[in-house]
Amino acid sequence: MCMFRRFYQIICDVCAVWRDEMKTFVHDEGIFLFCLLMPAVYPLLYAWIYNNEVLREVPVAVVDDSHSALSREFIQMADATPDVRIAYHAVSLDDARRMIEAQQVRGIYYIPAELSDAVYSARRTYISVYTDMAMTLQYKTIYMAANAVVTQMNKNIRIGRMTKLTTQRDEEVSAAPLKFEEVPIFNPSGGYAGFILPCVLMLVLQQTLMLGIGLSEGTRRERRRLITVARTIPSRGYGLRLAFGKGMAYFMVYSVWAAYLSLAVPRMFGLVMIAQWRDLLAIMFPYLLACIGFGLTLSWLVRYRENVLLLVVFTSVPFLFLSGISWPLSSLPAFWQGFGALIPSTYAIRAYVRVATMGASVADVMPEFRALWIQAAAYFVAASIVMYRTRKG
Amino acid sequence: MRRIINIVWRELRILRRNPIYMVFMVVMPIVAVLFFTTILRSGQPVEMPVGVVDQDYTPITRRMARLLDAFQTTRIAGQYATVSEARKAVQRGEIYAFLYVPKGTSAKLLASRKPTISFYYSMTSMTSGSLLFRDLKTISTLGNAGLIQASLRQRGATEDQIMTYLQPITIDLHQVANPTLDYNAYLSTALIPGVLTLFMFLLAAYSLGTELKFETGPNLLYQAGDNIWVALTGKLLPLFTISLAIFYLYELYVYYYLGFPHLGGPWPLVWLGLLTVMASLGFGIFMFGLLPQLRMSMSICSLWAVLSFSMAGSIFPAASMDAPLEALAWLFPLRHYFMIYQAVVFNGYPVVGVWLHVVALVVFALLPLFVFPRIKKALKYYVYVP
Repeated sequence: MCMFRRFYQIICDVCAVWRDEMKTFVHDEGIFLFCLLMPAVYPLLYAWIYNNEVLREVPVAVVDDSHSALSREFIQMADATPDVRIAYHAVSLDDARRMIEAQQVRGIYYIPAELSDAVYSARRTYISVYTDMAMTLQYKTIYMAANAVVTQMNKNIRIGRMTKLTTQRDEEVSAAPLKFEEVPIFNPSGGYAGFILPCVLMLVLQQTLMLGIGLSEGTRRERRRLITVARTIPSRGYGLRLAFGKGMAYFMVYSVWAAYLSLAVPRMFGLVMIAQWRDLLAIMFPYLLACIGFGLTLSWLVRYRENVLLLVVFTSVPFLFLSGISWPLSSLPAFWQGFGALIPSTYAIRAYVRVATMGASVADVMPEFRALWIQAAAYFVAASIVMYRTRKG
Repeated sequence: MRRIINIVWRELRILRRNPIYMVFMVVMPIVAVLFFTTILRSGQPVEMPVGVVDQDYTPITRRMARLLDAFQTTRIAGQYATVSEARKAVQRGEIYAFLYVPKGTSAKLLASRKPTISFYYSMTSMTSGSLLFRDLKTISTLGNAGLIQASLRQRGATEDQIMTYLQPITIDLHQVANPTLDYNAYLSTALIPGVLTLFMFLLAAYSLGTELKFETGPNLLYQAGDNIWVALTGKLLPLFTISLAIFYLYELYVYYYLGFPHLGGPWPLVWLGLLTVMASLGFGIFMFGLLPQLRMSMSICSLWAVLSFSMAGSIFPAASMDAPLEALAWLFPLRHYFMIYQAVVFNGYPVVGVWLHVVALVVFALLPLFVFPRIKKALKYYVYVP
């Protein structure tokens, strides 16, 4: 009976803390902004920014010194690709360079005077591509477009030179005996949104949680007073009860956000989303717990409530890198990989991307799944200690 | 003048007393610089794990796999029996791509029946995906070239004739200003200034806002003889000096120690650094003037700063975003920094091409002038409500 009563008391305490935390949620503008408004609006904003997925019609200048049927064929074929647009016909390389300097075009195709002569007299020749390297996506687009056009032209020239062969099929086979097929899997359009958005969604969850928890804890510390209900809680088991009570409040609100970010937003913007609900749930549950524990633990560093903004906001981009999605994991220095192991989003992003866009199951993301549970447990213990220490005010 | 010096001393005392300033003015920027430059040190990802599903297993197909392994960016991490096993490995994150050679490839090849070889690559990671795609392109050209080469050689063609036959037209690529395609020079120069401007936004709002929070505003104005110009000049001079020093240190480190490309020479670095620091602090002060409250102004500044990374258009170009977004990008100082940087510093082009962006940065630097009266009123009468 006595044990039952003690257990009942613990539940009561946890619930009281929970209720108290929910109240600050509604009353505090800052927490309202970061925990209720930002998770709703930010993903939509990012989805809009990367809406166009790939680069289309990058402006390019062309310098045609050849003025031949072949050079015109190149220009027409390049202009016809969805990737680049021939924006300017320059009279010389210097002229074209001026267009680049004026930021009107991003690259130059230079066709030498000898092009046609060389091709018909069976000499090797070239087409020069000059690209502005300031943005790799533009460089890639300009180069790939030229490459595709030249490959096609080469094949045609090769077929034209074959006189001894008889059928068209023979010609094709000799021009390219082996067929290569490229199959982009799991993000078939190769778009930027399909790649960056899943990472951003997971990150928004963690960062806004950290901001919200930091603001709420910072306020409490600033006012140097305990929550009214917390006064009655005995010092034994105080930290644990407080950590659980607060955790419940955030968990309640963020279950909704987790569902919204991991399920609704990808559907709304047509991202690849082939997860099974069980796998998704299995990832999101420990991730939320780990984030809450992480936030409560870090609140230890927050002396004034506004400091948390300085502390959290700038970490978003580095955390994105640590996840190993934008920069391959195999190229991350070991030191930073170790540091990344402390951050919940590192594992959650990896697991979520594979579950949601690659259709992996929990068994496939076992290492991440385990890491998230370990983090959740460790950070809750740490959070309890932090809570216990703040008891003294 | 005397008053300004007094306020500078007062500010320095505040900076010393609150560790937040030292941490976010000096320590964290240095950590951020080191973070990005060490993470991207290799310049390009190398030895990315890929798999091979070779169901034919003949000397010809094995040679192809070896060719793949020989590339700098790829490393054969495993052989798989079936496509679905390899797909599982991609899902587990063990490999980024795999080459699939179906049974009978060599036989078909010898019989001139044009077999198909497939290369599956995961585009969920953009950097690795596009680099692997580039390798695949090379292999498919080389693979075909090797076969044609062999048959031409049998017919007695010379090496030169073979090359002319294979590639009548080649592409002669000039990667202007960054010939090695160094991702470090490309990403760090956009992301680190982003982090630095973020700190400047927030610290400008923070240092003014804490005057309200601790109700020291009237004292500040009293020391300045009720002159808001004197008060703000003295108040922000230390922050400005230290931020500028940090920004120059960053430039010195990446351009002269790490040797990032900067065809524009040292002078653009000097004036662009100065303009960026002034514009960023100006933006922070302006936001505080609009919403004279520590919490709100800092919140808006952080929302703005986080969006800056995307809106700067350094990775996904602003010109490829929807038109309204391209217009909105003008509201972000980092966008202008990046546009000037890529034209003037990176490529060494004349300033004329980006003069509008220079004007925009100057406007950001001057914005606070509009809100001086509001800041004065806030410092004088505002009562902090937590």
